Amino acid sequence: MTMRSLLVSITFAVASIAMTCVAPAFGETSPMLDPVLPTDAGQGLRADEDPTLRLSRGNDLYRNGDFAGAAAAYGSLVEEGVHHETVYYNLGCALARQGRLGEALLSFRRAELFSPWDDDIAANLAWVRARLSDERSAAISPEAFFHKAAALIPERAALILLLVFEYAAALLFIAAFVRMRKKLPARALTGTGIALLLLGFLAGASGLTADRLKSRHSGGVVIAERTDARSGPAESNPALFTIHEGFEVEIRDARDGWVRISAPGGLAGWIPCEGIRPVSPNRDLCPRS
Amino acid sequence: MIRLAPRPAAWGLWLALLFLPIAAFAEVRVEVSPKRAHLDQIVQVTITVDGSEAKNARLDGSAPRGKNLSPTGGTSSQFEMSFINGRSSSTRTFIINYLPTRVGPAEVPSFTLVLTSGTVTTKAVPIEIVEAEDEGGSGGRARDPSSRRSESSDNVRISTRLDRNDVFVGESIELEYVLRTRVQVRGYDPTSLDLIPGFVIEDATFNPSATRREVRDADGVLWTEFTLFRRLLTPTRTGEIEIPPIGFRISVEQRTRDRDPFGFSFGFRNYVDVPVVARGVSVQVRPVPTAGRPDGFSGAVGNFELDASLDRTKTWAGEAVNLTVTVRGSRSIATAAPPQIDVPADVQLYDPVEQRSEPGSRTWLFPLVPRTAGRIDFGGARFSYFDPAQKAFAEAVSGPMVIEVAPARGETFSATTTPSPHAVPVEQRASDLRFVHPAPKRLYDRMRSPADSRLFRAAVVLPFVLFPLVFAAAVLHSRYSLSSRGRSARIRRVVGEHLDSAARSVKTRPDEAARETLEALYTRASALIGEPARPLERAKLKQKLAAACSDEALARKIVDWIDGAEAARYGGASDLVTVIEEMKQMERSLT
Repeated sequence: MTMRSLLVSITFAVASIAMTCVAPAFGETSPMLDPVLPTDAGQGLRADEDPTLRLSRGNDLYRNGDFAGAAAAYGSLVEEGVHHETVYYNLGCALARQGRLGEALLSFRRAELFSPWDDDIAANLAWVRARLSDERSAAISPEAFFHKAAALIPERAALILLLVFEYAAALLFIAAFVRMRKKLPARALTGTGIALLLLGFLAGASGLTADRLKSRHSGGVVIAERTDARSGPAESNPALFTIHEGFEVEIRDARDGWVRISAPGGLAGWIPCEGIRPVSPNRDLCPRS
Repeated sequence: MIRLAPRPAAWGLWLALLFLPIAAFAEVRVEVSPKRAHLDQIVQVTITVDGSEAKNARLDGSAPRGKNLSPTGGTSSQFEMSFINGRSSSTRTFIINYLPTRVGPAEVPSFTLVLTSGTVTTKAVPIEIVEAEDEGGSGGRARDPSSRRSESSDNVRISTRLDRNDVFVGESIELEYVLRTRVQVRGYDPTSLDLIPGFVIEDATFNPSATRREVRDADGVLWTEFTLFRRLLTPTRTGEIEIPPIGFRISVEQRTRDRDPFGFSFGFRNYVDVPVVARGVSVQVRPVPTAGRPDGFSGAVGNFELDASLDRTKTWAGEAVNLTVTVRGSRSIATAAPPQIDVPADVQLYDPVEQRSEPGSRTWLFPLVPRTAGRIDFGGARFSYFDPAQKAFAEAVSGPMVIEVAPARGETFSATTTPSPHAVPVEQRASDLRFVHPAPKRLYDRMRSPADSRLFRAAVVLPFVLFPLVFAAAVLHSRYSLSSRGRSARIRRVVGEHLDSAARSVKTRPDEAARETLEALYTRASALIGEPARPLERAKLKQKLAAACSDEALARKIVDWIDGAEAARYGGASDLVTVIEEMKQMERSLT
């Protein structure tokens, strides 16, 4: 074996090992920090049951009109850390059927976080919003715009493309340098490699942006039936305005059990953390000391 | 000892005997039954081909018409082969049925059969056609008493019935075929009745079981009677129109009295197909009177009613409203024209679309497109027809109709898109949550991103670390390793330098000794080139030499040496240092 083929083989081997190591990380689950669940979540359901099977059972309950049972089935999945648009969407449907519009809206917003182009999610969001008591601004936030743009390519596909393009570019650079075949034009190889590298960076940026947005989304939904927003993080501060279940806000800060919120129209204030849930499921607004 | 030598004649005899059984032969017979047939009776012609050519025998063309005989039901063919006492026999049978068309002498035509050895034409067979026995019409009563089929066919009859035989053009009549039997009937197979010249044919709806009844004939024999099928015929021309006879194959139960003396069938029944003909009838068709005929006469004859309705009474200018008109009547209106619609000039009336057509009823849809806003009053629809009972023209009309037309709803259509005249806007009555999604094949945590994995990050960073390392290793390798590639580069560099030096020496000291030294130098130098140099570099080297060397012959020689030395191989890397030292010594001696 010549030195040249040895080098190429080592490069391929390293790339293969890296891809093999990365692949299992795609299916892992993580525990949820601040789940919003129905109070009877998980009742009557086996914890060792396959999540897909449990989701199907929830669908059966929903189909038969047992919306509380269906919400419990979907909620148990969320509690176990299965954050998926189908789970949140179906949970939102079950909660909305029970009249729990604030929690339903939160679930649909979370489903939208993972699948911002889904028609059904948008339709059900509109359906719930039309039944809320507080008026909502129809302005599209820049965050939502970037979120939709980044979701044009699914996050995992974007990250896989990043790796594929990057390794392909590296192989082309090596081929251009060692000129595995003398007839191959080195400039063309290098140029193609640079183009692939740029595409890879683009895909990676898209995937990483989507990941960043979903884990650090600033949106929040009021789930308390009625709460007063105060001028500071204490009950002693005067109440500035009153908001109701399902009101959507931007979360600016969280400290000492209080969350600073803002809303279109210049509204800003502090509300207790128990009355609000973040759209991003792994944000913790009420850390236990 | 007498030796029997074979003779040519004997061999010929043996060969003839050998091939005699397989020599081609055929015998053709024609049988006609009955020879004296009634006008409503089927005449069956059986052509039998016996012999070795029977297998491939066929009739040339379709069955021809005979004198006063018309073929019916096509030709059936059957082939049989049997082995008796080690000998085989083949028979092919062709059966053709004929319907008598006129009383008097008739003739079964001659048939041409195509055999392997050629063609055979049968002789025509004269028969006689006599009047039918009874008015109801019957068929298939072959008079051969030995025929079991004839016996069965005596028990079934089919009569042709018309509700009227004197009608106007466009006035429908009902044609009915009634089966009368006194044996068990399993089924029937009629000749197609899709086309009768002069008539438009429609299926008439009826309940077959309701037509079943039992009747006794003049001899007191009990018969079962029921309708096989009914058709509505609407004449399209005047004059006497013939409805031709129609042949049936009726599957009837066969008596097994001779095999079962006790009359028990033990659950087994034999059925035979009996050909039966329903006689033809004629209809007298008169023209509809021209006196008093209104404009827009639909051509329908009978008594009719009309229903008309709009799918909506409010619309926008340029958007279609559908007018549905249904005409029902006592007779078929298959040949009638659509009703007349009286609309104002500012309403566009499109050609009607027929939505439903049943015997005695037709429904049309008329798209109307109002062009201007406002209230539109119009008379609705009218359908003019001829009433044969009153012998006068009449008209069925709908009530007046009103459409409220609002101004157009803006330019919703581009100039190239024409709205469908049947389009109706869809109105959503309610909104509701959309249904839950089915479970995906694999449910995983979407919050967990590959980007969170250290392995993924390592995989992303790896090429950026790996590539500079590979690059650096390759550079070092090419410069310092003794591989063939590094060696060639080094040799080319050394040779190039020394050739340049030698060329300068030639220029400054063009004496014979220097030339010889240079020759030796180039001989060694060219031998150093282990691998073929790249053409560009070699050309550059030659160019340098030619430019530097004043002696053209020498320059050419040096170039030749280098070209010739390209194929030479360098012995070993260890000699390289020695060679270089020698070359340097030569260079020093030259300078």
